[in-house]
Amino acid sequence: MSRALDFSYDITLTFDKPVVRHSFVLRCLPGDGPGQQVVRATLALDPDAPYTEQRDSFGNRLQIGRLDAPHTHFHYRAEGTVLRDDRDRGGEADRGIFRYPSAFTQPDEALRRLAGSLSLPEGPRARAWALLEAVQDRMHYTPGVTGVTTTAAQAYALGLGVCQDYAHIYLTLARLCGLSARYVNGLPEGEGASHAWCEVWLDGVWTGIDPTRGRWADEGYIRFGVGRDFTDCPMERGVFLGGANQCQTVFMKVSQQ
Amino acid sequence: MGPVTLSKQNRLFWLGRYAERVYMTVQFLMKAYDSLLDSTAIDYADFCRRLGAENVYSDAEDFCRRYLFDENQPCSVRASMEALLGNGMVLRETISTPTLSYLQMAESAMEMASRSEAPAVELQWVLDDIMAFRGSFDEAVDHEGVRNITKTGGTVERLSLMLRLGWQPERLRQEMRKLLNRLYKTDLVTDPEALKTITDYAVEEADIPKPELLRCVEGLFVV
Amino acid sequence: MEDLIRHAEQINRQLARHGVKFGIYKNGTFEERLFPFDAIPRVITAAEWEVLSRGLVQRVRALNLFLKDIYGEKRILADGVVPEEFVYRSPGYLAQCEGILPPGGVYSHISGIDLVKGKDGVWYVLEDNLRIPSGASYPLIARGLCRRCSPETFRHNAVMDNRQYGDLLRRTMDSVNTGGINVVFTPGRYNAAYFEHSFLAEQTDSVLAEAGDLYVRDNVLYYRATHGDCRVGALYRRVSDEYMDPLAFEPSSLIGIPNLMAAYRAGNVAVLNAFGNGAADDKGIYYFVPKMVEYYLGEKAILHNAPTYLPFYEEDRRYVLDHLDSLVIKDVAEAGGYGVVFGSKLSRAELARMRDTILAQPRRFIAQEVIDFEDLPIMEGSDRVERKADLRAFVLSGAKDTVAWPSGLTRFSRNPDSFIVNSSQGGGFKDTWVLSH
Repeated sequence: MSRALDFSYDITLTFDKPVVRHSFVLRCLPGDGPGQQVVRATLALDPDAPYTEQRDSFGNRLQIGRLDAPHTHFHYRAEGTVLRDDRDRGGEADRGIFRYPSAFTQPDEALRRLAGSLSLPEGPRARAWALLEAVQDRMHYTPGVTGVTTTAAQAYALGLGVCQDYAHIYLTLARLCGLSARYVNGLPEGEGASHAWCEVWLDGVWTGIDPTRGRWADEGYIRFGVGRDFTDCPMERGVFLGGANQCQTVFMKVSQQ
Repeated sequence: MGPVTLSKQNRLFWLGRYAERVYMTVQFLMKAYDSLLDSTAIDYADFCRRLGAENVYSDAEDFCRRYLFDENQPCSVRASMEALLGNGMVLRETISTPTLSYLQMAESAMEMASRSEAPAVELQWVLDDIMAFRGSFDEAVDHEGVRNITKTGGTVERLSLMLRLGWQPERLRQEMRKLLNRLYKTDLVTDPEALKTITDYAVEEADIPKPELLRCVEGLFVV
Repeated sequence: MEDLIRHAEQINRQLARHGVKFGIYKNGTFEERLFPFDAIPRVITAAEWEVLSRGLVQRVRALNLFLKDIYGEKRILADGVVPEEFVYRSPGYLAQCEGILPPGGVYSHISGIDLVKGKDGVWYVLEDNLRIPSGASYPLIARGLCRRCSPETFRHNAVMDNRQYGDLLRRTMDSVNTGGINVVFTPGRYNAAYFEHSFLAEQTDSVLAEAGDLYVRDNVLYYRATHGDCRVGALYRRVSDEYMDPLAFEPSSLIGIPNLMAAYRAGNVAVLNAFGNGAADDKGIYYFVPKMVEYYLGEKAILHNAPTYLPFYEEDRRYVLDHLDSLVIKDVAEAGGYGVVFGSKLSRAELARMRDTILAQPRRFIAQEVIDFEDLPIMEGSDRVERKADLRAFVLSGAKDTVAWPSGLTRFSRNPDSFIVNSSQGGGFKDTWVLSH
């Protein structure tokens, strides 16, 4: 069923000392793609900084710019409306790169053993679901123990983690089991923090699956960026001069019109 | 010659300063070596004090050798030579390989002098090589503005040493006037207050205490 | 040539005068060493060079087409000539570069092809270096000094001049330049090849720059100058891919240029060599280079690979397992001299273990026949002795053409038992003469 979703997404970076020469790449606006049509999307930066738009090799929208003057915070707000409709999807291209391990989804012995030990059903769709159950069975959702540099193998060894870790472990298993799978950054219906889930290529459709919440990612999910793993599509990446500590706060909201 | 960055400006400036520092101190120490032969006392403690160098030396002989060759002493000529070559190396495409080779040769001569019983022979080569470096630099660097950054660095260093070692006011004024003439042919940013003091002293022949002058010479350029 | 040997000491003094050095890290501190030079040149006849240079150009053209293909249409993968996993699993393959066509369509502008000559007189390619191959500056500067020290030698031998390398390199940069100055980008003074960076900047009349000297604004790369910033049209970078842009690659890199990738993606700057070339010069891909030549150019490969087997293919696997004790086994994932095992040096138990490992992970390894390569004479004091030597040939590819430089870096091992000719291992170098008739 088609749905119109309003979204807003706020990120504030605060620095405890002024920073300068701040270069950034944002992926904080959704793009048009299969099942997703952007009706309206705007971005406001504070302090205001000029930026250019590009698309990366995964098709994600990039907002690229720099802030040279000293500043102690950087706030950006994205908002808009997206139409989601997964009916009539098909014929989407698979990509070889999503069949092989990436830096954060490199299997270790333990993950290889796990993949080998699963008795998986025949059909790819059933198999994709069985892998989700395998991740859910073995992981406990626990914020604060893992970080942005935690790999699938490390999180699996802990048995703890957040959506990013669930997604990485899921991708590792899916690729070991012969599925094409990719990482998705975006916003699901509701409010709070941004979310990460996966897409598996099933019969010509990049089908959303959410290993953290244990469900298919349906038309309540807005896709912002895809990649082999988190590092290909973070919502925000920046470097600056000035030995400052950075603190990040995020708030998002997605609701049906 | 292409565009110049601030960091390159800084290197060009210090290239000139170090070349002058090596040149003048080698000359000074060659004389000191010579006077050792007649057991003339050298007031090396005074020399160290004037140059702001730590006096770690046991006697005049030790001073002569180690002030020249002890690379672990930051104020030694050897250390300045290394810094000179280092600045040259990062400026190769500006000053040219032939020009840089004279610095390489000066460093080799320095190295040989350190191992020699009669170091003054090789030290003469160090002076020769630095002279050749200057000539080659003049030939190789087309852009007058760029040449003058290094030359200005040399003059600043010379003035600094002259002030520290207590040279006569006439010589100081002469050198400062040279500096003022060149100043306008570089893109170097000057400190207006220091510039005024130096101008007053050199042109108006105002009476200004040496420490004040030294502070102004050292702080004249913002590099 | 005897005259040249008589003047060896003079030549070495000249090299010292010019600071022909390379840096090494020893016990954690940086040291610069003179690169020992042997006066006896490697001589390549005109007839030999005719074949060699055609083979080099052909090989590099194919490698460039391969890179363009795997980052674009991926025809060679679709046609099954190269199995896709050899590309997608390669650490040098950068998915971030898919769909980006570099200015002029060139990926490997400066290619260093390592060859050895077998005792059978055949040249074998050992390795392709398509990322940042170094070494051209050494024979380049040595030639000028040898000519100076022994003019007689060069009067009587028809040696092709090699001193146009700077011009060739500059032409290559100019041909892909998108409008702006040419810059040589160095990680800094304490890099092993700093001498070369600064020397090539001078030879090509480029600006030598470090990270702080360059920045990106509005997807354009600029050089920070006191008189207003200038646009950079071509960046000959001597820094590895992963450190080039902290916002696109390794986030912790301090020697990179933030958002360089954005300028590159926009087609606003040529980067020499292009990002992602590592996908075409790893040990696994090497096996397929002759096939690439046939696939893209419809020609037979002129240059030979060392006979290589991929246990990934069943037929090869059987051969490798049957001849393990006479082959060299290389771990595809390891770099430099690591992960190279001579079967003849393994015990029975070790051979058995190796068999198991190959059976378990067949795509991790390649196996090669041991080539009995020709030794070259060097002077050790006043004695002439024979040592192992290789040749790094340099091939330059611009927007219009690909040419082989009629010279190259001949490195030799100073240790009589060693096959390792790497400069950081104490090896030396020779001039490489290509005769004009």
